[in-house]
Amino acid sequence: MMDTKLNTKSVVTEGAERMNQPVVARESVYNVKNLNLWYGDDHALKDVNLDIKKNEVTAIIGPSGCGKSTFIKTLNRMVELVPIVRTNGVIEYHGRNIFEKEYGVEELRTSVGMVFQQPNPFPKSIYDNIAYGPRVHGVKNKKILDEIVERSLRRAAIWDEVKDRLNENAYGLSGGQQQRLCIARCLAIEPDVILMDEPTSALDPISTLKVEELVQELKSDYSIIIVTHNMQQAARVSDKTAFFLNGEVVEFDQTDRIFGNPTDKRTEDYISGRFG
Amino acid sequence: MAANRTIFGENLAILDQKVFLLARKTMQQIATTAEALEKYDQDIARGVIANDNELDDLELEINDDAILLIAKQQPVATDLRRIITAMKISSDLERIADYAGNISKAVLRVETFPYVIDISLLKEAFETLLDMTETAIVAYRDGDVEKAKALSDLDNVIDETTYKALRQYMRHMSLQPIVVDEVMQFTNICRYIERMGDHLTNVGEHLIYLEKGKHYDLNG
Repeated sequence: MMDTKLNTKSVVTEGAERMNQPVVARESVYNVKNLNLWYGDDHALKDVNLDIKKNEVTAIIGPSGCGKSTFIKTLNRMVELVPIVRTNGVIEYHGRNIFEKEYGVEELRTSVGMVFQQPNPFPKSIYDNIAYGPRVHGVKNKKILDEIVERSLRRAAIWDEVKDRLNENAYGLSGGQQQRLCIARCLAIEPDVILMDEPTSALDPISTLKVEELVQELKSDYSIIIVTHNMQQAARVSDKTAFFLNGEVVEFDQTDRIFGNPTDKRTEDYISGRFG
Repeated sequence: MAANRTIFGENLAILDQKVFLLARKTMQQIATTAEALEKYDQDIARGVIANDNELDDLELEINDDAILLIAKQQPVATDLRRIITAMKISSDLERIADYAGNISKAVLRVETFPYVIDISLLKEAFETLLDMTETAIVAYRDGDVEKAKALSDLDNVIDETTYKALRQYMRHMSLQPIVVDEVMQFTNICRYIERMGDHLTNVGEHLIYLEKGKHYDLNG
C-alpha cells in the first residue's frame, strides 16, 4: 500500500506562505475580547474577538448591516457619538483597555487616524489641510510644518500632483486626490493605526488602485484596518480578513486562507458572491 | 438570502459538462484502442488516431472557457479551484487520449497476426484502466473523495499487470530475437498503459484538491 497521508507540507502551501507574509509573531495592536454593542435594543456586535497585529493590513468584510463599520468605529470610540449606544467587553489597544474611564479619547484618536468613505477635506488650502493637525498639536514653526506637509503628501503618493498648487483650495482636487489628501492629513499627526471605512467606494478604478497601492506601502510603518464592500480589494490588499455576519465574526484568518479555502460555508458563500 | 451569480453558476456547470464529455470521449478512445489491439483491426486503430484531434480541440475549449471565467468573474475558493481543476483534469485526459492514439499507432506497426506474444495481460490492464476511468468520472460527478483515493489502488493493479507483461515480453525477446521489432511495439503499449494509469491518478489528486483544498499524493 502506498502512503496516502495528507501532504500538508506541499510546495504550493509553502509558496502561498511566501506570497503572503513571512510567518513572524507580530505584536498585537488591538486585542478585542468579547465585545458586545447595542444600538438601543438592537444587538449590533455579538461577542467579537479579534487579535489585530502591528504592521498588518486587516480587512473587515461582510454584507450591509453586518456591523463592520460599527466595529471599526469602536476602535477609536467614535461610535460613542451615537447617544443610544451601549457596549461591554474589552478592547485593548497596546495592552490597555480603551473603555477605561481614565483613558483619554483624544489621546486615542491622536494615535488612531481615520479615513472615511467620502473624502472630507477641510474647506481650506491643500497646505492647511495637512498642517491643521500638527498646528492643533502645537507645531508653529513654518519650516517644520513645511517638512511635515511635504513628507505627508509624498507618503500619500500625491505630492507630485499638488506640489505646485499647495495654496489652492482642496475642493479643487478630484475625488481620488481628495481621498489621498485625507490620508496625507491623517499621516501628518503620525498615527500608529489607520482605520479606513470603505475608503475607495466613492472613487474611480484608477484612484482606487492608487489608494490600494498606498495601503500596501503604508503598512510597513502603520497598522491598517480597512472596512470594504469590495471583496477583491480585501483579497488584494490585506494580510488578514475578518468576515462579519449579523454582528458576529464568522471567520478571521489569513487572507490567503479566507479567499483560498475558507472554513465556514457562510464565508465561502459570501466571498464567492452567493449572497450579500 | 437571495442566491446570486446564476449566470456564473450556469457557466461553471457548462465547464463541468465539457470536462465530463472529454472524460467520456477519452474512455471511448481507450475502449476503442483496446478493441483495435484485441482484434488487430487497423481501421479501428486509424479511427482512434483520427478522433484524437476532436479531444485536443475540446481540451483547448475548456482552457479558453476557464480563462474567460477567471478574467470575467474573479472566482475565489471552491469556484476558483473548480476552474483550475477543470483545466488540470482536461490536460491529463488529453494526455491519456494521446496515449490511446499511440497504442493505435503501435497496432498499425505490428505486422504479424495472430500476435507473436500473448496479450491477455494487456487486455487485463485495459479492463482496469476502463474501470479507473469510470471511477474517476463518478468521483468527479459526485465530489467523492473516497472514490478519488481508490484510483491509487487501481493504479497499483495496472503497474503490477504491465510489469508482469513487460517481463514476459522481455523473456520472449531474449528467446526469439527475430521478433524483437514486433515485441517492442507491445512493450511500448505496456508503457503507455502504465502512464495512462498515472494520469488518471493525477485526476484523483486534482479531485481531492478540489474538494478539500489540500494536496494529496496518490502516486507517492
